[in-house]
Amino acid sequence: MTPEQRESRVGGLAKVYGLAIPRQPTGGVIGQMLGSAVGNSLEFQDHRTYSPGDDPRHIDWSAYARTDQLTVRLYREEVSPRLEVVVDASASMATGGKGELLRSLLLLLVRLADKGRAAPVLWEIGERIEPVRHDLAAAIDRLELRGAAALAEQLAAAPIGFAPRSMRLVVSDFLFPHDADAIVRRVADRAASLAMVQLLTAEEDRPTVGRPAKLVDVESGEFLDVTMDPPAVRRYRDRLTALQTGLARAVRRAAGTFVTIVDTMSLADACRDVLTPAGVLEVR
Amino acid sequence: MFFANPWGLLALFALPAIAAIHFLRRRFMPQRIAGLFLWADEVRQRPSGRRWDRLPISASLILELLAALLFALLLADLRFGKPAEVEHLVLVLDATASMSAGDPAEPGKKVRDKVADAVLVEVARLSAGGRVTLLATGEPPKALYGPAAPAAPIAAVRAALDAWRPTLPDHAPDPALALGRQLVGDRGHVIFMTDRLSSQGVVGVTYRAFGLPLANVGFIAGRREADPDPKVVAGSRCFVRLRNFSLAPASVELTARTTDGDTREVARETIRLDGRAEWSRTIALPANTPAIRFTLSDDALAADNELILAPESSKKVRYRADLAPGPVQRAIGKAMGSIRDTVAAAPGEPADLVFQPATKAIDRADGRAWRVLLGPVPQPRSPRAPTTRPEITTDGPFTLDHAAAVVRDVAFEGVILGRVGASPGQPVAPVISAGDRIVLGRLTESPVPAWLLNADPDPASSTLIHSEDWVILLANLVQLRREAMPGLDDRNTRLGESVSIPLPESPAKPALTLVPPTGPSSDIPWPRGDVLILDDLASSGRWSLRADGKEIETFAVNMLDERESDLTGAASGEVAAAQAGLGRMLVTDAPGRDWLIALLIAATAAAILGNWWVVRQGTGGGVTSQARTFGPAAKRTD
Repeated sequence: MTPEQRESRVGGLAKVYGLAIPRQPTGGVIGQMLGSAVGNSLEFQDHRTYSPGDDPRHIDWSAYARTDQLTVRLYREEVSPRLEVVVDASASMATGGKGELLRSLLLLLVRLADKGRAAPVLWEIGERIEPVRHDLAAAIDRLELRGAAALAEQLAAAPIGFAPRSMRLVVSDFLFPHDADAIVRRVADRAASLAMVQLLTAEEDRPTVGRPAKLVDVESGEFLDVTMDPPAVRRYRDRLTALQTGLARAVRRAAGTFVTIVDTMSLADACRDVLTPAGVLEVR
Repeated sequence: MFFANPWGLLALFALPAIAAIHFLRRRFMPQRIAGLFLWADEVRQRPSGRRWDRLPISASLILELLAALLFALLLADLRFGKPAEVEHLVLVLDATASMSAGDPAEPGKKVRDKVADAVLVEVARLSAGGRVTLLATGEPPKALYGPAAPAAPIAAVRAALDAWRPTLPDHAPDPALALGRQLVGDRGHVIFMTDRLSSQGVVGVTYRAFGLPLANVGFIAGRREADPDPKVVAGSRCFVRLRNFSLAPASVELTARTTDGDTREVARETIRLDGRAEWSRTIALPANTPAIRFTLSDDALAADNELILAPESSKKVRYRADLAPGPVQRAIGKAMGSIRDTVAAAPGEPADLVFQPATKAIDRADGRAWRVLLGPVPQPRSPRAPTTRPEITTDGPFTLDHAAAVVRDVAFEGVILGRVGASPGQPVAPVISAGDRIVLGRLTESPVPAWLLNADPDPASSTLIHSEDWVILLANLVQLRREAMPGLDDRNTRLGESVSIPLPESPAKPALTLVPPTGPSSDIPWPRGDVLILDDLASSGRWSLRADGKEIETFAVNMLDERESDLTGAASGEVAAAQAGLGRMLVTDAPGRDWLIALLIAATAAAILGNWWVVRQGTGGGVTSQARTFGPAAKRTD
């Protein structure tokens, strides 16, 4: 798919969907968006009992006069959310249709972030870790999916300078040996929200029962002779399910969302059937 | 159903090989994946190693097995029916010229015609599916029909018989009979069709003779002299001899005509011959007379009634004696003058044979001229051999290498040789030796043929030039030289003799064409050594040899075979084989069917093409060079 075609398709979806803003306070400077939390905007939201440390400017003096209770007025917070997308740029993300689906998803997230004035940052976790803050569309086109190191190793190797209270979204196939809690701890640290999207090919999701094959790992080059008979495929499926369950549990502990998208789905189907129900996107 | 070539079934070994390839290949069908660790337990769960897995049946496997099976059937020559024993009739036909004889009173009923009729009767007698082999005698024997060819249709046998022309000189039929017996093996026997009866039976061979004792007069000799020097004698002579082979007197008419365009009559004479009498005549011919054809009036055998004598052209040997005037030079001139067809060349003129002192180096200006070096070779002096053996005078005994043509008829008895050198000083193949001294030898490393007389022929020290061996030696040398010169020595040969034709030097070495008296010409490559030897001339008449379409040699081949001309010994009858075979059966198979072969070839080709297509499409489980990744990119609809 050419960048123009991808842009055209993503543009249509960007008119329909928007990023779901988390209820926890989001980071960033005071902005134009109204956050779910209370803040300093002029839009009144509610009252509550004063607590030490509250801004005295928000004490409702008239209510104090009436009730002799210190009450503060709560205003909706105006926030400028930040979206940080962590991309697994290893070679395994290029198998099957994952590469194209990944680029389309990233472009959609960037467009939605732009629309919501949420400054997007792209963290490419490939051979090296580098943030991309400008001209993200071009960076997505240039994205090279040929890293040999697993995402877990890269995350563990060096701390990533995530912005506090940013919205974090991790895209990977997670098909590498890992400790789900450790990964989640890394990417959920001081995050306003966390979503982890697993991209799989259909064959990775449900391998075809057939003749034996020499399975070659695209990243390490290691191989195995495997008889892909029904028992073997069933055991693979069990292990994959366990992997997904572990990730989902770890993400849920961090109040995040874990979803799986198979490359046979179109991006529109993925938005409608997976990302929106999971609260990653919302219909505008 | 059976296989005519069971060895072809070895190709069936390809079937397990293909299955093994497919079985093993599937182990190595690479698929690039992510998440190999999710499969790792599959391997670790096999403590006993590799499992014995079921061979997957793919379209490629089926097509490849089918192609191999069909190919094996093709190689094995699949036949339907059962092998059967059929009669195999081996007939050996006498190919000598006497088989062409026939009673003049019965035109069209020559011996060969009777033999042909008898052959057809024998062939017609064969049961269905019978096989026939027709061999003609000769050295080597010639297969006229077969071997073991179907007897039907009989027209094919008749056509082979029509082309059979018995023209060969007398020869033994044994090679053909041996070949025939080899063909029938222990289970059959051979019928030999001839015109004479064997005095005793031959193992496995039935003699069947169709000859008749007939009166016959034929040429038994003919020779033509070369045209002499026209300055000396005008014209030449030819000599003919004929014989009446019967006991009764005979009268024949001899006619001699030229064979050029106007066929002039040179001589005509009616000859009366008593029984078993001979007649000869020498006929003078004008100069430049072309080939003469002598014919006799018709009788029982036509082959010996014709004699062609082609003009002989002598090859004159030019010699030159580069010697100081003296007795030796005079002796050479005198001896060479007595040898036919020799011409003395003046000093400096080109020559074919040059006499020179042994002390003089060979002059390459004389080209390919043969050299005769006379006199002892001076002994080189060197610090390593300060003393040399002296020259000696000897009267023998002389040792002659009689295998060398140069000493043919040379005796060297009573000859005294003076100043016989100790060593020739160069490699020499000795021909005449005296003790350890080489008297006459051929220089083996000379650029041209050269002979060394390692003694002084001067009459002051030797008696050689006064002996008769001197002339014989020179005559032999001249003859050897003449034979090496281009052109035929004898243009009138007998049937069965080999003809050796030294060809002129030609750097281009064009292809040669041999034109027989009758029948098609044949192309012959230029022979190595520039000498063409023809030893299978099977018909009498005038032959010619062409190079690049230009006639370079012509010669006549005549029958002149007294044993073939003598028909009094011809007889008819049959002599049974001394030890008959068990039968004359041949184990044969059902004939191959063309449609079956075509069907197998077409099916094999279809299987191969189908397999190629299936593998190319990547749907048949065939070997593909590219690794496959899990899950093709799905078509998106957004």
